[in-house]
Amino acid sequence: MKEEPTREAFFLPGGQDVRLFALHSAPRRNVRGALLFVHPFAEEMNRARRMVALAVQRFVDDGWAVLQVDLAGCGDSSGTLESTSWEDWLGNVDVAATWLQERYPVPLMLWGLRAGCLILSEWLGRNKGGHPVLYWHPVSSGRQHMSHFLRMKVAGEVPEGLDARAVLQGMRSRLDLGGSVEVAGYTVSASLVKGLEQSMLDFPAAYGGRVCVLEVNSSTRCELSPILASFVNRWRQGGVIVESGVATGPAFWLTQEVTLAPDLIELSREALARLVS
Amino acid sequence: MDIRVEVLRVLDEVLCLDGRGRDWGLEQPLLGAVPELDSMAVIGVLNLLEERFGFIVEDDDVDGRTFETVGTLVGFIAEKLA
Repeated sequence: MKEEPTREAFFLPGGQDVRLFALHSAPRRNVRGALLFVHPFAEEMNRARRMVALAVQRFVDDGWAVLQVDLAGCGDSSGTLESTSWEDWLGNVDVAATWLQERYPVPLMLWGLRAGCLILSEWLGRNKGGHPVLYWHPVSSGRQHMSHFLRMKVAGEVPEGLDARAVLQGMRSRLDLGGSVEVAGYTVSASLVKGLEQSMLDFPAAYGGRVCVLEVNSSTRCELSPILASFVNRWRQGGVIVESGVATGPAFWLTQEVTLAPDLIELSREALARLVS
Repeated sequence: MDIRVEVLRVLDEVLCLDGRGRDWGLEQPLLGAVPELDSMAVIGVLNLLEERFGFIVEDDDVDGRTFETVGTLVGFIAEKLA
């Protein structure tokens, strides 16, 4: 009879009275590798929840242990996005990575979705580790991602007749003064916005891990977006071993209703084994 | 890289055209001619174009003319990538 996998929810210390919600899922024995998942920013995190849960189940079936951690101010962790700094988030990743490394004597692997990839990229840059990486539809530029986040304010909330540019400029100046901004129900600190804005998708010099980057597309074409294709080229020229692919499916981190991209999970399952070989 | 083909893919994806725009030429009118392209959709198209091509549009960069036809949109992106 097949053994039920381990599944435990608990809190990790997130510094300054913050408790980080963590979900640990793993096979009972023969763990091949330990994956740390970092979620997307704001609403994209919520929309992607079901898809990520499904992927975790499949990965565990294949012998991978997974730790999902809600960063401070997100999901079921305590704190608010207004009281959380960019440094706090990087510290949260540290705490989660350490927990996994102490628990499992197998390779630590990093798995990110959207802005989660940016956070992992920044963390990798500071820690100089050669941890293998699985990136799901990564945000290529933090500046662009934050610009889209602020734009939501204009799209959804600016009443007729009010100048959208003035609203954006107002938010920019508040951020410049270190104040927080509220967009679509998320009040975010200047530190988080600035930190994300400055983060880039990249790998540290002499990075020794393997990388798999997967994009999702609703049509059945099989090309990477021009920007990600150019990134992959650059990384390869820098000596990073990268494989890339495009899964067919909806942009599940954006869609109003819960949608799934099973193809992405299948491609990832195949890739994970190669990442540690 | 064929910018027009990428633009048509993005329009198809954001506006859910189901392939209707696959063969549109540069002269195909957009704003006012494609009912799916409302102000929210304009932002959606812009966001996805930025994401896929990797450029950033400043807040005062875009006006109605950018979305006049497929050709004006392609020209706008070519300028951004130059």
